Amino acid sequence: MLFHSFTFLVFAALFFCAWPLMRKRNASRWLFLVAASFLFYGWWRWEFLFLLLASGFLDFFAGLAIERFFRMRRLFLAISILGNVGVLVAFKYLDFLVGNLNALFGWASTSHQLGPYNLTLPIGISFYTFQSMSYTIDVYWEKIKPTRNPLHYFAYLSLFPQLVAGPIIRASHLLPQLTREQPTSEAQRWDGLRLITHGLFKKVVIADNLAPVVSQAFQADSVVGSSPFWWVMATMFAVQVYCDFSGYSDIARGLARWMGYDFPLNFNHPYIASSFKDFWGRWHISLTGWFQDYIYVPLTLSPWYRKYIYRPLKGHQRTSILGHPNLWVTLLISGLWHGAAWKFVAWGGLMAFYMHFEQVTNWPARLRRLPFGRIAVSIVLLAQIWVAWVVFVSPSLGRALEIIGTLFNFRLLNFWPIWTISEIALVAMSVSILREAYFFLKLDQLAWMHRRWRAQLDPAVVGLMIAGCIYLRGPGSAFIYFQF
Amino acid sequence: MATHRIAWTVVLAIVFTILGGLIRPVDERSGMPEELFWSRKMRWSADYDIVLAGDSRILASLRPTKMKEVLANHRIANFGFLGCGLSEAYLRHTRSLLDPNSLQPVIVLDINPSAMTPLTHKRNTYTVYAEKGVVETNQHLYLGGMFHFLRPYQWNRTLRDLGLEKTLTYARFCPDGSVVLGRDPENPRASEQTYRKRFVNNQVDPKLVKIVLNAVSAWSQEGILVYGFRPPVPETTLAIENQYSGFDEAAFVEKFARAGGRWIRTEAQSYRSHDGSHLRADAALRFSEDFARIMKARLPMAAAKGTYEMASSSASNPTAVSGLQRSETDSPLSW
Repeated sequence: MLFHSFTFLVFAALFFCAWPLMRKRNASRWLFLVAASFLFYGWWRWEFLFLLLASGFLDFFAGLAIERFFRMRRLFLAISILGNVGVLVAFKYLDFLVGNLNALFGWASTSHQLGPYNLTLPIGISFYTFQSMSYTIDVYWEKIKPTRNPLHYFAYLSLFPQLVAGPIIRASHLLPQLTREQPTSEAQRWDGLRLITHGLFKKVVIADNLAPVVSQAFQADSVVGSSPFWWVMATMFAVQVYCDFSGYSDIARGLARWMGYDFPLNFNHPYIASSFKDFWGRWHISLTGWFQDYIYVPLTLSPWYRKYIYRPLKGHQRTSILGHPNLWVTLLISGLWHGAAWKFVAWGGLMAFYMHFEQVTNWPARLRRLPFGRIAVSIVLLAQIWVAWVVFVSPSLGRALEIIGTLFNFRLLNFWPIWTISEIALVAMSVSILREAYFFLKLDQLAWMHRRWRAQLDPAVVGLMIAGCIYLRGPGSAFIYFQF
Repeated sequence: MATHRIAWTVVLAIVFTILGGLIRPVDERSGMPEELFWSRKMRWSADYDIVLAGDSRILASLRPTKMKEVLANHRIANFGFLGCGLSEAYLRHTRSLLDPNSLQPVIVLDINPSAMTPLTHKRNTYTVYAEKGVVETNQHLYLGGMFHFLRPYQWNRTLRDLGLEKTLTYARFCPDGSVVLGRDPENPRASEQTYRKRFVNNQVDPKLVKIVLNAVSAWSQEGILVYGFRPPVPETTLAIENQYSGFDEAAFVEKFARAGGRWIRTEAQSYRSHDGSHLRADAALRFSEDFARIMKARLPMAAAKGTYEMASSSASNPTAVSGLQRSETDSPLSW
């Protein structure tokens, strides 16, 4: 069920009509949440509910076993992690793996060729397996107590606003909220409506109007066009992917507000970041936090890392590539998480390189000291991010390199075929850029923005945005992050 | 107002939405609501004597209403889809629309290279509609009016009025299943570039051709009259298609005839195209009439058993012309 579909509108209307009654009693609340979430997920393909159940029960029982059998807790944690990673590998990475094996051993087009198996990728599998794993790891680390009621666990794991595309929420954050009735105030409901409308607007008006133009350019048979054209295309994709994904997160957070729950912020204007470190603190915050807490920090604190990598290095070597293998490992895995293809690994590697280069040189701080330094930092930062997005969106690594070559092939006064870009897409892109510029220039912090008359205009603004979502929507497409 | 923000927002959103629907810019898509048009087509049942199948070219070139003026007692369905590949599922669905009681069921296939390429099969518009769930299809069938009112704005006409767009393409969805396509200004060479690109790494696939020929053979054995034709397009488009797609029309026609099909040859010069790929509205009407006349010569007078008068024996048992023959009439269509 897509958030911007009529089916979901009906589903949400029925859910929120019944919710005030159902949330009052514990039993009915849990049951209602799980049933609604399963209906939401099963609407697409009901068979995959069994996978969700299997993955969920594995971690539910692993959590209990870790607490009950203290000496064997490592074993149960390993079972949980292997189970989840196994499900991910089977459904998401199997064809990628066998494709590489075939290429490596020269089996392609021979009788030894493995696969392809063409298994359907269950929507949201990367999100819910990560969320499920975080639960058992937190139980293992004794950050949380395992829940003894499977309904509680599945309400946490499958809560429909965040089930298929995040944010990835920790059990320590969500489970306590689910355990009691959360009455909603008028301010919360208003906040929820505002978030949902903004999210929908970002998705259906901005991202969906950009989608056909971006897709046509990047999926074309050959790379045609000048450097300015491809910079505009890279900007369009950057805006599209941001509005698509942050739009989903906004809608999820808004729905949660209406239910009386609080989901953490997942995107905080990443394109106005002042450094790469800052960027990763603003982009897909819940996933970045997951990788940081469950991969980066454990790697950094591991005795193995201390003994064999950190201690043998001298001071200046610790800031070189040798000193940060954990950063590279984390970002390469993050790249692979986004998709089963080498281009995603390359994207992760490029991001790791950016981060590492920044750590070694501290260039944003140095550049900021110059006149107009803040703007220069943003321009350099965004140019690097745009290049990384080109790798991300191109159909192959070879194509990405061709486009990157064109990006830096500056020829003055050659703008071809920039005038063929759809005007609607240009307007959508400009609206999004202006919105980010508004926050970059901190106009939201001006005094007049907080005057009473402005608050009174809010209903008209939100009302107009709702009508805008209806009439200005682009050709419908699924959320980009569903494929992850 | 601040204390009742949500209520105010809902009221204002409804007002803005109604106003927005009333003052929308002029649409270049007219006629039936588009989604209702496709949803209805997907729900057609086995009620027809003649089913026209293929892609946008048959959609735009054969108008059942016009054909009925010649083939009076025949129930005709234009089951074409934009960007349609002649896949097994699509051909099966086409066959299922024929009334089992029809005296002489007929399937007319629009054969053009694009419909037998892997990319068209991969992006088959028919499949998109076939895979829509019952709920979604019903939404369009029963709430079609509301969805039509709330359809997104089309800006092409406004952009052209502002001088930002040079061309305007429009479509009118007709209740008989056909679509009137148009372009302003007309340019019969507009599609050439498209067709030069379309077949790059995407040539006609012999496996997909075989699917069509197998279907033709199976239908012919069932007693269904199967006609094939290549909708009229300018000579330059035809040449580009043949050159880039790897489609050998003469060889295909021969196999088509061997499979039991009958080929109708069209003369492109007689019917003007507005974009080099689809017929102008007036040309489509004339083509429909000519096409119907050619078919009439081979068809029984009546269609459904017991409903109309019985067909003549010669018509119900066509013996002549399979494959290519010259027409004896003045029509630019020929057997």
